Amino acid sequence: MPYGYNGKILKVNLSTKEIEVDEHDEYFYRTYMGGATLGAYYLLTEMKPKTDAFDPEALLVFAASVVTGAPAPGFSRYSVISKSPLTGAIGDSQSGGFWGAELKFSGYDAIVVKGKADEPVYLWLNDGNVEIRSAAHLWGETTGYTQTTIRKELGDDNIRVLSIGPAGERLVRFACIISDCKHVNGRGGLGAVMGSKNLKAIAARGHAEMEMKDRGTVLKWAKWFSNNYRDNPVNAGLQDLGTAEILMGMNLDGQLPTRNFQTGFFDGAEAISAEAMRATILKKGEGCYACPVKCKRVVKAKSPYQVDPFYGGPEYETLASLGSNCGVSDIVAVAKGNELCNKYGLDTISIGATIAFAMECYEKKIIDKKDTNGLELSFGNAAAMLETIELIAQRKGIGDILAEGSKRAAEKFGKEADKLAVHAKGLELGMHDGRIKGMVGFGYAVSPVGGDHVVVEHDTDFDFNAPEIFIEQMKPLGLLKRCQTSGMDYQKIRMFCYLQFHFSFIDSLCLCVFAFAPVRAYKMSHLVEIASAVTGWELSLWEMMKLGERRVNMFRVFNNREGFTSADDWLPERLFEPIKDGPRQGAVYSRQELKQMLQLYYELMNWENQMGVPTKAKLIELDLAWLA
Amino acid sequence: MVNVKFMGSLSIVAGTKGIEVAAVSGDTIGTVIEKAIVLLNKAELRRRVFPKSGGSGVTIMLNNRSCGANEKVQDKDEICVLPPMSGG
Repeated sequence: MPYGYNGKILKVNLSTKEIEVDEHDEYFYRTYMGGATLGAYYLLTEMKPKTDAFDPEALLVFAASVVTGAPAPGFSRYSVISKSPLTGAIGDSQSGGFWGAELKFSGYDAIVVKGKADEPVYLWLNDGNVEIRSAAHLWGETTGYTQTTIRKELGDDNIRVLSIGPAGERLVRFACIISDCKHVNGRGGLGAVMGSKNLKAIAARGHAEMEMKDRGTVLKWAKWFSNNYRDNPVNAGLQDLGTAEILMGMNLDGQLPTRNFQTGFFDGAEAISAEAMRATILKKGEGCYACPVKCKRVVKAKSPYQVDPFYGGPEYETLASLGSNCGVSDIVAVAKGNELCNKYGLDTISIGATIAFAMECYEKKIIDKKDTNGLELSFGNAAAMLETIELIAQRKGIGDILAEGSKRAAEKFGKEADKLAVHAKGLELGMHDGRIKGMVGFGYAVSPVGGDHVVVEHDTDFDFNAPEIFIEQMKPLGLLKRCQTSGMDYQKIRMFCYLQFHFSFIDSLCLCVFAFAPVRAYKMSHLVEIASAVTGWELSLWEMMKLGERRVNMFRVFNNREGFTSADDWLPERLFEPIKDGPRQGAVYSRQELKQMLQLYYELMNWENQMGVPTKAKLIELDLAWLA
Repeated sequence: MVNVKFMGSLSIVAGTKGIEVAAVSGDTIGTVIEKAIVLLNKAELRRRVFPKSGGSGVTIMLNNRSCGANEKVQDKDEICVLPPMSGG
């Protein structure tokens, strides 16, 4: 019998209402393991090239991994994979919380959804049983109402519900998917793919105990983590202040994205900091399945905006995207924006970046009040920021244009607005400035999903002033030296390759990056031991790194067949402009250096270097001969 | 005197946002931070700034410039002790 996984992948055709189960052998599970690697396998084998993301024939995969649900911190997550309607490239977005583990307990490792239902539906997975149920009464409703109603009608408050909100139904291209109303598959617009299929939600409940080869070892390391995670400088801070702990430091160092990445210093930073949140609106911290860190924030406010704690609270990315990047220094307004996004199902990074882009267009007179529904869409106008979120969710007026994302909106606005749109491959950048963190910037350029900030370890974690413990923990990868923070060089491009494989296998195994990234609480040897204990396989760091490399190459092949080439591996114009002021004034990404490093990167990856296509030899080496 | 500021969760475990520390000629940033921790007498703060694994567990800025713990300080300098700026 298998350990760790169920051996069952649910396949649902919403057009025909057919439900099947795929059963794969151990070879399949050990080769792809889960998450987006498993999802990419289905996209590459069962979805025709150049299928539109909203075509009923497009596949939408929800995947846990062979270790998801193990009773230890960091094993809660799952991926959603499809073609991104925002980028046209592969879309992969992960979330923590409890839904991933519940999927496993319900008897399945993944769900592959195809087709389009005649009317709105939701899926109900209950201890191996599957139902397609009407969601006609939920269509148009918020994520909170949807979850509450489904739990009530199925008679169990412990059911885990992931759903879309009205934004996904209206095909907003950066609509997200939310579970428990606060855990988010945020990036790439996969909520809109759900909407295009008339799939409102997936509810899961299971009582099966996860079979593991050596439960004692798993529990031993779970206990070790609980006793020791506060010795890690990042994990301790995550518990005390959440991900926003870094905001003030980012600002002091001049690298907090501000007013659409024009500068890295925001004079209102203190007002939207984690410290300010703690002193004013923080209600409590919350966490994910089996994790004691509880890095999520839950906030509540009454004035000047009422903020419902049911929808959690803003993390660093949201505080920066809706706060500093829009020039907004009102913590309650940012928290309200976060609530609206979670309620309507919108990616807080893309929407903040898209509104910031529109604000700069407004200030540069590319658009005016006739275009903005009369809104004074200036940086710092919190009320206008919130109203724009409403308009985007409803696709009304300027909201209908911005709902297409900053790249398409720039094409619509014209007048060189494209130079102000801060995205890579159409995905708005995370709230980290590539002009300062050079490797993060390089990741924006080459990431198959676009402007993703979770592709590699951040440069500040291994630069000349990084904590010693971080440098030590990266050594098992053969990364022994510190580097400069900005730019790229021979040493950093080598580090990039290794670290992207590391982060890629973290995503394949659906692990929490805050627990398993090289600089976090677990050491790499811990993961090898825990994953081996769960599965009964004698795993190694080598095998996991190859898994990560396999995922990167599968993504690359998918993008190649959709028409992406090396020309798409590039950065937005803004990063080639010097930072305007603040401590990092003048910092800039070098075009020439990027060109040189891209060529070197393709060679290091064993990709044909004009188009960036994986070679036949590389695919064979990764046991992907079927793609060669 | 050198002003040592603690940012983020470090200010929570320090119980204060900052403290004035007397520095003598030749003191490094690390020496001054050590003096601040002794004055504040908070075990958790020591554990966070100088973890048992060795080295420093924080990011340090001297007069708003990122730097290492071995740099020398001067009178009226300001040291910021920050949590590491990893991804968010």
